[in-house]
Amino acid sequence: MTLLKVHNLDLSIAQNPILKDISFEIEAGRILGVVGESGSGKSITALSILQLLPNGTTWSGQIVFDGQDIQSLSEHELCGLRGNDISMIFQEPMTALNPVKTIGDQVSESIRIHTGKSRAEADQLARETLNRVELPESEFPLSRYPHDLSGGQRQRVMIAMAIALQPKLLIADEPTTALDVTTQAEILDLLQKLVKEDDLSLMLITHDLAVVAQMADDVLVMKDGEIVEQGSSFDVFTNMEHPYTRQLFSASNHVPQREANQKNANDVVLSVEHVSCDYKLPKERLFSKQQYFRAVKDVSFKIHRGENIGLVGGSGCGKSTLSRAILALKSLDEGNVLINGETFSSKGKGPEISQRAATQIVFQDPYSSFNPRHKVGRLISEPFYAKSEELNEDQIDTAVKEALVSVGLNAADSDKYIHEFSGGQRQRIAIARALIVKPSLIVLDEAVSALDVSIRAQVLDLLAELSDRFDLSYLFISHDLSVVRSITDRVLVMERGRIVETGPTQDVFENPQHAYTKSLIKAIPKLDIDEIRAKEKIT
Amino acid sequence: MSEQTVSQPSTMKLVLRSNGFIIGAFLTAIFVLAALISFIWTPYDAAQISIVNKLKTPSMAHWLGTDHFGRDMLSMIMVGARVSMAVAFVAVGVGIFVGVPLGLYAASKRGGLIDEIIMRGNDLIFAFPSLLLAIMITAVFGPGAVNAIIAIGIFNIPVFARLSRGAALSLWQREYILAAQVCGKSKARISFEHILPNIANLLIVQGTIQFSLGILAEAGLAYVGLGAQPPLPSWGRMLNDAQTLISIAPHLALVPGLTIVLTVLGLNLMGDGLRDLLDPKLRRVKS
Repeated sequence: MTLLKVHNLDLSIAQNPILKDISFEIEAGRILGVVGESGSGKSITALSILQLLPNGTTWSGQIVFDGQDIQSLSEHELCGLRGNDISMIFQEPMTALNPVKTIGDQVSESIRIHTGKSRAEADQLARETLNRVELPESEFPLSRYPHDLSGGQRQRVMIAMAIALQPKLLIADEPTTALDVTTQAEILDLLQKLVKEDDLSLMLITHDLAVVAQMADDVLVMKDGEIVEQGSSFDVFTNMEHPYTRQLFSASNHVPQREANQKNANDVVLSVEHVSCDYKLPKERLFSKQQYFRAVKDVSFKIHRGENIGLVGGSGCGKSTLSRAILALKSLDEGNVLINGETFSSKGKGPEISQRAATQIVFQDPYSSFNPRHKVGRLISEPFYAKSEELNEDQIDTAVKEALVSVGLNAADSDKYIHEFSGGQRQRIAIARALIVKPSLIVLDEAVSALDVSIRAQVLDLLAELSDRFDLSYLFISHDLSVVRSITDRVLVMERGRIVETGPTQDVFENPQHAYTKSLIKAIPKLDIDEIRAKEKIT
Repeated sequence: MSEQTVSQPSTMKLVLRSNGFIIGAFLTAIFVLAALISFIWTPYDAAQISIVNKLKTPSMAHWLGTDHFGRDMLSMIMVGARVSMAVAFVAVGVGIFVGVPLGLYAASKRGGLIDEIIMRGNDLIFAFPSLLLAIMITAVFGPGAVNAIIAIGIFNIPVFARLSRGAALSLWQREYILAAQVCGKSKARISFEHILPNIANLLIVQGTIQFSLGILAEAGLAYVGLGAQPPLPSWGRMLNDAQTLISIAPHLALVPGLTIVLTVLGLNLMGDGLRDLLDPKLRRVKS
């Protein structure tokens, strides 16, 4: 039975066409995966079903849900539909819940609004729903507040809110993008279980082809507001008729070409020796003793020249703190960090300014990585501050142009402001800024996580090429294990502030030893055509 | 990733579309012009007493009438504008030049002892009634425009310190600040190179509003006799003089009263309009 039918949907916001001729159907009890890069119109398609469109939107075409034409419904009837028959979960579990209300209140509120049930009945139903999303009463009473739940638990509360009234259609907009791999696997399992139990239809919007391959029965590939390919998951992944689908697929599985690094055991770039870092905990009373939380516990490792090291682990495991400590952005509470054999920082003591040029960093978010009021040339030349020798303007100018060209941009770009560049270009500029002082080590803190797959593939290629060319070492911090696998020589696995496993990337991924590593690797969504074939045979 | 370029109307178009800003800027311009012209020309000498002409209602000879000593009101308002604006301007300047560095310094030492000392010191000034301090200063140094500037200036410091600290704190979390730290730049240098340009909008808007409050405060001080001293005319004292004559010559109170209201209104409108123009988020919603 067809639950939702979208026919010839055209949509524009303030006269800019956003969606062009979108037609698709969702069958009851099936999962439709919608994939595409940012700006492809995935989210707007979902919002048009709920009629939660921004002001100034005009659309034409037909949206029929469960036999009702959405266009013919009044705003009041639409409110009855939202939450009751169609509900939605969002990407960011940290902001989607109201922090001043208990989780019980938030789940039962929508029940009371839509059904007019009494508080007791609604609470009862809320309890049952929370049990269904695997938040048992013993640990998660209705009276708990969102702030002391983890991201995955919050996402479960969001799912409970969405399914409490047993809707017919659930729209999940990037439900796992903000979560780390193991949590992502759990949430995806839960969604799959709920679809089976309730005969629910799920519209799963994601940029991650692997997630779709693992979950969806039907697939919709979108590009620039148009559907480029649709069909059953098996058909789409085995045939891949449209070149864009093939491009997405190869970009998702992309492994940059790089030479295996012949490491010289004596040429150590970075040496981390027994490093520990503490954070102050808030005082409970005015005169109580200061308590500390140890985020990094006795970590030691070495990086050789030209070697690429991956640092993986779930959120909150201390990997960001460790990277800050290595760069002396956070002071060490124990241990030493040596760069090129010289002490860079030790307990209570930071580096000399001239030592700073040896390490640089590239951040995750290409949008907040630059001062919007400076021109690109000035942004890129900032690390020269750490160089001891004085350079004149011509020399700096030449260096800026060289750096821009080496990351694949134009020398003339140095006169532009940062807002004139796209996310991928900004990330290239960030790399140019790191590169300009010819450092020995670059810390890449989730440097490709915010990028679309095709851009990510290009940036990974660029990083691999630069590493070969300049004999650069990378410390590659990421929660995306497939990226780490494709670009690193050795990998460190971190859990609760400790490094629990280390070894050559290939060995660790194929034959993990520690239980935590095993669970991490098992949780990676796989994009493997053979598996999709196997799945099709079973069903 | 294809970036959507949001087409933004030019600044000039936005300025013309923002009615509040235009009215505010117009009013402000009138009083600034009046103050400037008073240096080279006033209809009469503002201090010239002419008992024959006392308490004249507005006429062609005296556009705004004359007071109980026969002084020309328009000339007094013009010279008074000079005093009011100078006091408010310097006081805001004191607030910015002392308050902003304090706020930025406190933000760079977030959570530390120095941060606490600076911010609690600010709280102390905030909690202290400004008029009381002005009276204290006057009691020690004697009344006068300079002492009014000091009193008003001191009360501007915590306003700017708090504002810049709050804005700077959120900027310190930005990654380009971390990148600058990786390059070995000191916190003071980062504060001036990266943070100050990014909070300039806020400071300009707050500056305009503090300027109007400064004019109001100067009028208040002058009204109780703690501002500029005679024979220098001042809006606040003109109001005070008019108090006893209000039933005989209401224009004596109306003229300086309306002048103060219009100046403060103009500056506030201009400040609001500036905030809308300088804030890209509000700009997009409006257009």
